[in-house]
Amino acid sequence: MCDCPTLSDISGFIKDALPFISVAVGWFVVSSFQDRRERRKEIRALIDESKEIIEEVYTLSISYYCRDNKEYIGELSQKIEFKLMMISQYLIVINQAGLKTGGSQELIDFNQIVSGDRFETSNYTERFDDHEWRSELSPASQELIMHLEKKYFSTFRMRSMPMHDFS
Amino acid sequence: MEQKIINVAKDFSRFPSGRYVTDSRFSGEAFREKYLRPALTKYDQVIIEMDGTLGYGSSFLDEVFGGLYREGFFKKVGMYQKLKIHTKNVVLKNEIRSYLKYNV
Repeated sequence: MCDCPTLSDISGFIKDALPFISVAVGWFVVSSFQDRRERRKEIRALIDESKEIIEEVYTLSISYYCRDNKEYIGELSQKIEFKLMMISQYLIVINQAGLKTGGSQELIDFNQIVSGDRFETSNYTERFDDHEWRSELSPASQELIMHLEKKYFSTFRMRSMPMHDFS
Repeated sequence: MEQKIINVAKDFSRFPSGRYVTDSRFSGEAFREKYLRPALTKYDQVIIEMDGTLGYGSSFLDEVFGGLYREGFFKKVGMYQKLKIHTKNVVLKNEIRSYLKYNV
């Protein structure tokens, strides 16, 4: 006589196991949603901190360029360099956390407008009336912020929120 | 193959700043002329370790890398292949590439 399980044995087993399977699947689904939510919160916090630093750099640049700055290398310029480095480090952490921001041309553009050209050189000249430079600085900082926001929203689309094309 | 490793923070300064030697002892021009150009001329491979400094202004980077590019230094065959940039900072690496117009 064969010891093979009969159809009624199998169905009995499934019947008994079904609640446990349901619990396991439910736990897995809830847990993965929870993970995603936590990751989203962490990335949101990192983006918010990056935005604050970008805005600080913007303000520091205005202070650096828009005054009769005899000390073209010093505390202020080093603070700007340090903050710019911090933004790139934040970007790396954001990338590692799962939001792919790429090599970020936007940050390179911002770096170059803030710390290129006549930054920390004896060729330094006050730029208070340099409307061309000022009209580049503000959009560059905004583009960098929008780049991060765009990546955030395209990664974590929320059903309740209508999506706009930021590009 | 002779290799030279230049660690900017250890060999040059943790606070590189300025474009020209008249701006600072630790300017881009100083780094280019004292370290980078002689190393690229003498060695088969030059690795520049960029991490460990307070930060880099674009004016410093432009003077170091863009300066060599503008004077046509990299037109000599094999010059680009000699240079390797080591940094964990992807943005910094991409910015240097933009000055060299080459994928180092």
